[in-house]
Amino acid sequence: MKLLRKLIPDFLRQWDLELQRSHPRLWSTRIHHHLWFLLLINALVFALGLLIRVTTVKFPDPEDLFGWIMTPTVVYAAFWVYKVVLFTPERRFGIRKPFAEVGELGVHFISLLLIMTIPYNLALTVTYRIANLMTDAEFAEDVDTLNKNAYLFISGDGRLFSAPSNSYDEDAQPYLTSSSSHGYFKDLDEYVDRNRYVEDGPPKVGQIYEDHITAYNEMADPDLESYDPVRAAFHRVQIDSIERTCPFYFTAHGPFTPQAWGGIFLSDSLLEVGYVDLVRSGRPVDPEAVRRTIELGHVYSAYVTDRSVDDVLREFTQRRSSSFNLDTADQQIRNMWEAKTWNYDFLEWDTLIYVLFISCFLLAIVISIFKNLYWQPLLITAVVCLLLPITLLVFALILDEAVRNVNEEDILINTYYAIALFLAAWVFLAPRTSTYGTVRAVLAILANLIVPFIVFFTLTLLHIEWVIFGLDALQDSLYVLRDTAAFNDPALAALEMEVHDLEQRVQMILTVVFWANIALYVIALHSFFRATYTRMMALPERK
Amino acid sequence: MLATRIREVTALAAGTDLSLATRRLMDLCDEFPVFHDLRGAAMALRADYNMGRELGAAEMSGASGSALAERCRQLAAAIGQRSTGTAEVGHAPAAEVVFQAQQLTKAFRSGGHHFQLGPIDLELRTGRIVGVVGENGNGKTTLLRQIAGLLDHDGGTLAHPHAGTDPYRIRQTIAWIPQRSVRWQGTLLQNLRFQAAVHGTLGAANEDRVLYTLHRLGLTRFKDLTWKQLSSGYKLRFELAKMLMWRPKVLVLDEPIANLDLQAQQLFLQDLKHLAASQRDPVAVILSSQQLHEIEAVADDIIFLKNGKAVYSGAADSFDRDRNSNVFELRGVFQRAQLEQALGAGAILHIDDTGLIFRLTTPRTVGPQQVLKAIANADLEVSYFRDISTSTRKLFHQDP
Repeated sequence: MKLLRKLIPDFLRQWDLELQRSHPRLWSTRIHHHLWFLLLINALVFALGLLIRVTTVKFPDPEDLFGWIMTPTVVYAAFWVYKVVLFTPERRFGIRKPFAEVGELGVHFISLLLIMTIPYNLALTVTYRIANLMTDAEFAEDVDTLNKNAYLFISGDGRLFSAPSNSYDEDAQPYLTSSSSHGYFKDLDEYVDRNRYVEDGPPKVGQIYEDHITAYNEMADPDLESYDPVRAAFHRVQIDSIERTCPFYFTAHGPFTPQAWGGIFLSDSLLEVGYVDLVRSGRPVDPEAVRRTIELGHVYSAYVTDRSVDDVLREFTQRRSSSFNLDTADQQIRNMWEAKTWNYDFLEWDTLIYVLFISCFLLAIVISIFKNLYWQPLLITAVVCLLLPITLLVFALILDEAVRNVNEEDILINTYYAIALFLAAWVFLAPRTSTYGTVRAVLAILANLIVPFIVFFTLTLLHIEWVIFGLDALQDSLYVLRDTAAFNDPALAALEMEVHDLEQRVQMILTVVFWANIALYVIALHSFFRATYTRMMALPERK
Repeated sequence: MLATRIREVTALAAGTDLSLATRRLMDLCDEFPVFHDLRGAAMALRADYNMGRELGAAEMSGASGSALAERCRQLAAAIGQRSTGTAEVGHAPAAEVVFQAQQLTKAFRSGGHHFQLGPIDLELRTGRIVGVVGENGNGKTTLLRQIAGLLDHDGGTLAHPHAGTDPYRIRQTIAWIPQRSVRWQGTLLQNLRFQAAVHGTLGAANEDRVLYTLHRLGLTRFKDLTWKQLSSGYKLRFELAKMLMWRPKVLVLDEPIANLDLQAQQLFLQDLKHLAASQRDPVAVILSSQQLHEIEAVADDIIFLKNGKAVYSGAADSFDRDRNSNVFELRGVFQRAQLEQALGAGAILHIDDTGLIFRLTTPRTVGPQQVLKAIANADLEVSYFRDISTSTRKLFHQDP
């Protein structure tokens, strides 16, 4: 503590004194110390972010870093909460101002959000450094080079099954042991068309392929009654033939751009096009392209196997799996792509709003209330909130009829409403019951946690369970129409549009209600609860 | 009122009790606007006294003590000079009723044991101190907790003429100092500043109030200490200091001097009396204690509780005024027979030997002088003597 005090500069001591004398509520939030220490911590974290080793070959995953730094962040947050809850005007029966209480809630909320700058600082610093290891243009060029030559390095036999270890049919032996990796297809149209199902039309190659695989799997397994190695070898020949002519590769991608590229190599059909072109043209493989690819593999990964250009060319010519493995380089490039496009969970809008914002808001509420309380009520509240769902679960297990339908969401929602009902009942029972300060405090915490979401939860429940917006009925009508009407029936399109509109409206209503409920709580109910609570706490004990 | 106070400080300044002199000089300059410009000088005097006196020493000594005494005299003279020709300002503040209880009762039933406090009638007035005395388990703390608004009552009525019926407002006018102080966080200085600020004393006034209180209660050198670092006595003074920050109307103290040494008890009770009778912010004080003689010395009114009932409730100096007998406690190197012989049969109604002391009951006509003279004549060695004829201590020895 003494060391921490030494870190406080004179001007901040002066502010501290001024706030202590003239703005006790603001002083008690410790926002000034909080900002100062966050500045220091963030400077350290930033320095740490700069010191962490970041090279193309090796760098940490920013999401992992975000997770690791959360531990010291939580420790700091706990320390901050401890400091913040020590001084409160209400506990000293000081002057109460409703809007000051809202302001206090706001300051706590901002303080909590600011604490989260610590993990974001580290993760974003490292992300920025990863993203700037090379320019986008250089990165795109490397990716393109690797993409264009990736077919030279296809490893493994890569298909759906491997050859059985024992074979009974010598005729089938060459097929069973052959590699089917370097497939090509004879007809692009057939490739494109291979899976498109047309009713009553001739079976497509994709369907035939699946049938052969199913048959092979049933006949090649000695443990099954259908075991028949000869017929299995036959199916294997068919499969191999299809694989050679129509490999089942899918998606195609363009060159890397931070916005559009999905971080996936061109390992699919376009690669095969390049391969087929090469084979058809009869051109020799360019050794320089192979050398460059090997070189790039080493640039992005320390774990790619050490192979010469000749090794690669020989394996390619012999139609063998390449022993030069680019997978680790591939993974590293995907990681760099994530950094360049800032594509992380902790930066998703949903995470920011619904995880960060809501959890900080809830914590701010708890701190605002907790400032007027002592540890005991808070712990009792925590136990109540834990015991209720456990009790519900036990009941659900006892009544095994119910347990089939009970899941975590049901338990949580039932807990939520059980607490809400208990609070509602207590309001009427209070005048006739013995009331202790601790009970009041527990009830106050529960009320503050229940109320900000009660309208939203209730509306959502009514929407899902009681279908108050009629969305299910409309969707049912749509399903019926889809089964009966023609594909291009205008009524179908109109109904689809109507369902879409209603979904959008329901979503909008729920969102508005959610935020309105929170706003109502912040503007009016929080002050009301605190005023009621402090009034209750001032009442004498009945015992 | 002012003249009395000036005479008091002049006399004190001429004496040797620098502690009391500096405190009363501060009080005078703070309470009467006509001396506000001397407030700084009084505060500096007190600060120098606090810092100059050795920790634990009874009084300042040596050259510094003499110099301080001289400064006290100079300030007292300046005050005296200022008051010459000044119209008499400030009458003794009218004792306002700040708390009333009528037929107050509270019952507890636990494990077959039943206890009922009351019914009790009580009125607290600003500037007056009420002492609640009685043996353990007779309802003193229960009564004080009810007055402080911490415990509900079963019967009777409570009224807070200054605060209405809003419980928060009521609690804003009552300061509760429990026997064991509740742990607080931060430094003493931080707490005082915060306490003053949340009750509306802001900015420079806040600093002034805090400094004044620190000096006045001799807490200056402890201002940066935390709860753990303070002794029980200073914790209690801190509680008093906190109270001074927001000037409540009622001050309720439960066994405040139980853990204090004799000197600290004297100092505390002295301050309590001065603060209660403050010209500017008089406060009604009610306190419980087992130190009967100290409480009787400081209290204006006494409530004696026995088995939850107020056996006596009234002015401290009116207790048993219409008695038929006197009661004395004495101890010495003599036997009961020697005492009887020394006093003679006509002077003794009853002698009770507790094993530690003799409790002597005499006719009303036999006063303490006669008893002491008789003992001296008999050449008996006395080590302890107390006249408890008008003390509620007598009630401790009555069977229920």
